[in-house]
Amino acid sequence: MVKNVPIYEVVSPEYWVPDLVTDTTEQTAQYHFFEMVTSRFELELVNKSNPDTYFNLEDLQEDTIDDDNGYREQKQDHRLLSSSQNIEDRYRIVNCYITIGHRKYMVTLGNQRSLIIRFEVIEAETKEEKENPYLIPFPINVTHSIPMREDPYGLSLLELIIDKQNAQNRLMNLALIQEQENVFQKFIVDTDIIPNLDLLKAPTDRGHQYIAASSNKSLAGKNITNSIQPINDKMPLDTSKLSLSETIDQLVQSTTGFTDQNRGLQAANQTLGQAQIQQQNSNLLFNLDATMIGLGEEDFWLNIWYRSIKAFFPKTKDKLFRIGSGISGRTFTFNRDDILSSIDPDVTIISKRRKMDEERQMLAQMNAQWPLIQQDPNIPQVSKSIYFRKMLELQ
Amino acid sequence: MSFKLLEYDVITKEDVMEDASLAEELMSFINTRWNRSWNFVQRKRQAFHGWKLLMTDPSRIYQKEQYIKVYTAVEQLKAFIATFLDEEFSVEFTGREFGDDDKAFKLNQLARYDNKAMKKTQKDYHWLSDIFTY
Repeated sequence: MVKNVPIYEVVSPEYWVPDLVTDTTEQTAQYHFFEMVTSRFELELVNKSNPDTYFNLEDLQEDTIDDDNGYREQKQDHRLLSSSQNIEDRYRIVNCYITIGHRKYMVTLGNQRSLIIRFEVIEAETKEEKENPYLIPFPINVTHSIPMREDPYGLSLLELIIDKQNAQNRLMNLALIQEQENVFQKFIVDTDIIPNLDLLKAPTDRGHQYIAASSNKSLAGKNITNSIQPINDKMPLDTSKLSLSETIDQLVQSTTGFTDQNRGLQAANQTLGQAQIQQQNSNLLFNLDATMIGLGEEDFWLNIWYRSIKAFFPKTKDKLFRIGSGISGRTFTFNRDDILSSIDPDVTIISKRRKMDEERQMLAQMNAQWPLIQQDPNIPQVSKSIYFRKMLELQ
Repeated sequence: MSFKLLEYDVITKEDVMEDASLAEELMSFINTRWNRSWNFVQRKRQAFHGWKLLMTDPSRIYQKEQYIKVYTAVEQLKAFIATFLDEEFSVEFTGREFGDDDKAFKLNQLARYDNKAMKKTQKDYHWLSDIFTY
C-alpha cells in the first residue's frame, strides 16, 4: 500500500552537521547535513513504496569505520563496540539539504560522500514560493532550549546543570568517606600483655572466648584492664557540607527556575501566597526557554504539518475513524467538505492543558474586576451582561 | 562555487544521473561545506559524549575515583519534559465562524487520530529530551 502521508522523524542531534553561519531563530541556514546509519533493507523498503527514490544502490559499499567517525566513538564509549569490531550491514549515508543558486535540494550521499544515491528538488507550495523559490524552507526544524547567536547548537539545560551535579557528586562522596571512617573505631593495644592480635579479631560466635595475656615478672605492676584503649579521633558530621549541598541545589534552581515543589517534592512550610509568588518568579525566569521552544513548535506545525496537508489532502478522499464505547463502537468518515465551507472557518486546535490554564487565569481576572464593573454607572448595561455571559462561559 | 551548477534553473534527477561531471561538481560543492562544519561538530560531539557518560555509563563506578551519582540532572530533565509534553487537544472556534459541539467533537477526534497515527507523543518526547540535552 502506498502511503500518501509523509512520515516525520525526530533525528538525534548528534547526526546533525550544521551551517555555522546562521541565526538560530530563523531558517537562514544555507545547508543542513545529517549523517545517518542505515541498512540496505531500509533503503530498499523506501524504493518499494516510492520506486526509484534511491539509485546507484548496487555501488553502495558497507560502512568501513575510520578514525573521524563520531558514531564509532559513541558506541565504544557505551561499550557496545570493541576496538577491532566492524558493524555489519550498516551503511553510513549523509542526507544533505542544500541551497544551490536560488533553489533548495535534498541530496543523499554514500561511500564516504563520494556517491550520489538520491536527488530531490524541494517543491514550492505557496504562491510566494512559486514566484521566489529562495523562500522555500527546508523540511527541517531545529529547536533550542536557549539559542545562542552564531552557535548553531545553542545552550542546553544539561550544560547549565552538569557542573553543579558534578560538584554535588564530589561533596556527597566526601561526606560518605568521612562517615565510613567514623563507623570503624581505632584501638591502641599493649602488645606486651596481649602478643597475639589475631585472637582479638576472631569472631565470638562459638561461646566464650579466652585470650591469654602474658604475666611475666618484668611486667608486674601493669594493669591488665588498660591493655586496650580506644582512640578518640572521631570527627562530628560536618554540617557545613550540608549547607554547601543546599547552596548547590539553590544554584540549580536559580539556573533552571525549577523548585522542589515543581518536581513534586516536599518543600519548606509555605503559605499559599508565598508559593504562588515563588511560582510566578520561576515562570518569569524560564519563560524565555519556553518561548524559544514554543517558536520551534510553531514552526513545526506551520511549515511542515500545514504544508503537507496542503500538498497531500487532495490525494486522500476521506479519513475514517472509529470511536470506541463500552461494548461496541461507531465509525465516522470525515472528508474535505467538512473543513471547506462558504464562510471561512477559523479553527485552532490547541493544547487542552494550556487552554484550561488560560481560561482559569482569565476567569480569575474577570472575577476580580466584576464588582467594580457592576457598580460603574458609565458602563452600559449591555456590556455588563456580555461580560457576565463570558464569565459564565468560562466557568 | 563552480559555474556549471549555476547554469541550471532547476537541476533534475535525470541531469545528475546522466551528467557525470555535474555529479562530481555537486559532490565537491557539498564536501567543501562539510569540511567547514566538521571541526566544530567533532569538538561538540566529544563534549556531548562526556556529559552523556556522566549520566549513563555504569563503568564509572568501578574506576579509581569512586564517585556515586546524584541524578539531579535527570530529575530536572524529567520535570521539564513533563511540563511541556501534551497529549490532549481542544478545538476552539474563533473569528468569523462559530462552530457547534458536533463539529468540535469531530475535529477533536480527527486531531487525536492524527496524533496517534503519526505517534506524535513518542516523537514529542524525543524532541523535548533532545532540546534539553543538546
